[in-house]
Amino acid sequence: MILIISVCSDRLSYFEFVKPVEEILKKARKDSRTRYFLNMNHRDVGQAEKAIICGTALKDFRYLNSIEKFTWIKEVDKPVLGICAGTQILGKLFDCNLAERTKIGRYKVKIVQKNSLTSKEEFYSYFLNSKAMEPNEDFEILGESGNLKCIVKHKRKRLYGCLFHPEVLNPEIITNFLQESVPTM
Amino acid sequence: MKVGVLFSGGKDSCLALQQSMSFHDVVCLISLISESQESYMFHVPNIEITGKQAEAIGLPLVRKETKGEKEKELEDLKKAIGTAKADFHLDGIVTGAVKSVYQSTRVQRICKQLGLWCFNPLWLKDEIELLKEVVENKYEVIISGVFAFPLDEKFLGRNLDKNVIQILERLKEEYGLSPAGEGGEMETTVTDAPFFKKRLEILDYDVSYKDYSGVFKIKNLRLTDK
Repeated sequence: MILIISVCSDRLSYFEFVKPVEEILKKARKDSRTRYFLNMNHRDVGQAEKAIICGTALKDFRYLNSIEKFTWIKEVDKPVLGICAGTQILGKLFDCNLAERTKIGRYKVKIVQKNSLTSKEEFYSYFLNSKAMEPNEDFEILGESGNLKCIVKHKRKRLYGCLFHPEVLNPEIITNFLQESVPTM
Repeated sequence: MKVGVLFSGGKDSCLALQQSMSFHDVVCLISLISESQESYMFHVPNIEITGKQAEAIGLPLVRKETKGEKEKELEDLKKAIGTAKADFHLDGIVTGAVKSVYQSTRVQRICKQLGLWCFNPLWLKDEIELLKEVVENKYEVIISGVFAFPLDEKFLGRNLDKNVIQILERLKEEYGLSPAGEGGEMETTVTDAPFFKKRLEILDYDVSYKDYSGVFKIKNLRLTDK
């Protein structure tokens, strides 16, 4: 089961940021469960094979005030894909700086390190962010857009962050994340 | 939250309006009346009847004319949203954007500049599902514009129903046509929906059509009780 985590504090945003990810998983025939981050419990995490933290509206920052709800990410060894807000959450968990950087629209992404999320060297993606995680030494940079580090991976854990919204123009990034094999514990 | 809905009078903006009513206090509709048939942002056929539609729904309309020139129309949109924000104390804007990154980018930027929430409840929705939802919700929708092969004169003024959806689904498979017209292939006008307090009765219309491009223009209408 894939755990889809919503950080949308407004329920109308669910249709824009979470439902499209649910649809991608449905098409990929992946069993999934969606939980709002404040309503998640240990059982949800325990039963999940992987987790995807979806984005939310530009004015929505409730998730950054409740970062303790995500400490399980550091404690368990499960692959996590953070989308936009999800990347900011990964950054805050590992003490990265979150800079005020607004980027809205379709921009080119260049891959700077081979990775399992995409086989392309460059592509266009849809950005909708007002804060950007500035990766520290815990993270490696996989992709850039201008001077924005927009795809990152934790060096020791399988934690990925996409600052853009792959569900809009790059759904293969999500399906590649789903297909990545989980190591035997 | 008090929200205003960007309103073209077509199926997408009506569906977005209906969805937002379940979660927020919709206090106004906002329409940009474009003079250009080639507008990058705004629905054109029958846009001038949004005043009557707003009256039928029972919501005030903030209306702004625009010449429909590529970036100038964005300034006009910002002015219209700014007016609506000031007059109705808006917290956010709702759009019926489904697939257009161009449109959603522009509206998101304007909302960011004006300090407003931006909601796109139909974003990336499956187009056939969207059409079925419109019909299942008992909307009365006419096809008011066709702008791409193989959509011809026969579609103009036709009611959107299960049969039309089947045809559009087939045209998607055969020609790659966007069935809900998200690439500008087709425009629609809503004359009734569950949240309309009155329905629009079309009294007179005019059809113009040539080479897979045409408009069903409503010339006269009246509001009738439901």
